[in-house]
Amino acid sequence: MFKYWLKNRFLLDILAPVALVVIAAFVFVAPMFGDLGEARLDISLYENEKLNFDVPSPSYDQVSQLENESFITSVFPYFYTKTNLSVDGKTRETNLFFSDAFDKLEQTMYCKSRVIETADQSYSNPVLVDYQFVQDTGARIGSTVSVTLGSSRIDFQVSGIYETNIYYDGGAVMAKWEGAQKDAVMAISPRTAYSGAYIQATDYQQCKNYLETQYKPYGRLKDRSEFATQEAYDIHYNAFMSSNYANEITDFSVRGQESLSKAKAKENSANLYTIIPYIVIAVILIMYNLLMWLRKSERCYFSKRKVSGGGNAVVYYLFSIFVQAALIIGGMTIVNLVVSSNMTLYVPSAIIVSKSSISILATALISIVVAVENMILAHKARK
Amino acid sequence: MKKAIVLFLVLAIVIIVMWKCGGLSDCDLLKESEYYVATADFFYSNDKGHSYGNGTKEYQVGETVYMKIKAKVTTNKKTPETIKIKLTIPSVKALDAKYYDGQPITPVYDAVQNITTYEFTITASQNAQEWEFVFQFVPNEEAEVLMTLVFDDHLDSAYDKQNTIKFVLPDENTEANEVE
Repeated sequence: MFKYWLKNRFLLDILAPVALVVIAAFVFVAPMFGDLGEARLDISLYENEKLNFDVPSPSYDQVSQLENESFITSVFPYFYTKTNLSVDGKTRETNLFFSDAFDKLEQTMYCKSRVIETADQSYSNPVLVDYQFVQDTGARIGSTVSVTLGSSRIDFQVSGIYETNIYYDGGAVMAKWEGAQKDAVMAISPRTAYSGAYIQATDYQQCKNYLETQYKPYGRLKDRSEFATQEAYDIHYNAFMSSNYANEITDFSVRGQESLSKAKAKENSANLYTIIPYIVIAVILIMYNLLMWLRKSERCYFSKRKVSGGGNAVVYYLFSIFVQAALIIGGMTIVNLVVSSNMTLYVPSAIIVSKSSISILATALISIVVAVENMILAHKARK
Repeated sequence: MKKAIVLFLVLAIVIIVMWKCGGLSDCDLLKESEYYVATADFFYSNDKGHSYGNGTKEYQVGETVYMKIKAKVTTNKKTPETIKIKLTIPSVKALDAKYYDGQPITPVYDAVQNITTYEFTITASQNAQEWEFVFQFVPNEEAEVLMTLVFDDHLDSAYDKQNTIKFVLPDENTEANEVE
């Protein structure tokens, strides 16, 4: 019976599930993880409730004044520059942020809910990198990241890897601004003010009203000594003081609305792709087994020549059930693991585990359905 | 029967691929035929924004000048796509630049290169709309300011634009006109 099965079914029983698994991998599983990764970029950023506003160029004094407002919880000021960062010989142009307020990281894109990996030890010169930077440079926890600012070369140690910071095109990294790093930036920066600040509001509406009507980026207000004439200074001062800067303030809840709805739609589409491949595989496998049973070689063999009333037909179909089940369950599990581990976008391991579990359960269910079908066919073949 | 089985498997594969491709135009296999075309230009106004043009390059110190950037990206892709464009303006002492009209965005001041970058998000589609962003300039001294507009990686760098505006003292400008 085994030889007969080897001759008539073995190859097809391998080919059919393998073909289905390969098709499912390319048509469903890869797009599913791709969509999940893309959706995750926006969801993890804009669902961060502590990230309320981004304001331009506050002065040093202004940060303290803002924090004293009753409707503001805290202010995270930052410096920014776009520069080349090197990691083990690989160089990448990156949005580099410096901040002297690392104790307030929780209200930024570098909060705990977006952590992928953190260092066990603390570094004196830490830099927090995002997933995109890691993908491009191969940086790991503890890697040395070098940057040249003016004539100074500064080294940082990667102390945390976070989800890609899509608020900035190409992602961004955040370095602690103190000691040599601070001196290097201060030595070449022409302006003594922050580049911007993230604001966490206690009272969102009151904070929004205040920023839109009263906020001025005092970091841009220059000193009288910088101007050759009083007239030039007056033009500058009047232009600065008479302006409203509401259009230069980012409200994350507004900005994230459209992105979030698109991301949620993408996530729903990805979730649909989690189920569809198994329905398709089940239908095709059921039809495949039915077609095999309809073949003259099997029907004649079991009903007339060999096993009328005997049990060998069951053994024959058991071989098929075993091979198909093993290939489908094993194949889809491998596909899920291979696709998820080769993604260019980050998907949290909890989601990968959940999708892989669904895959194993679904393929096990398909195997049971195929087994029942084959047992019915075996029973019919014996007659 | 063998032919029927092979035919069935081939048919199943074709149906799944066609279904996934949704009419072929968005199919991953055909991605090489996608294209993006951008148009962008700088326009200026010194009559409080009533009229804009791109002919005049010199404006007087002390007068408010409005700059309008118009940008559009067309693609043959069925689904609209997000494109990022960056405008960089040098932070010179002689000029107060302020983002005036358009989608609210926070400019980032580069503390090392002394430039301010405005990063806008526009949508590329088959029937793309033209996006407009307005800036207000108040020059307090003579200066020549070079601005660059850069599209993201979806577009060839040939679409990027540079534009220079010059601010001159009123009396110098008058003298120049007299000579002409």
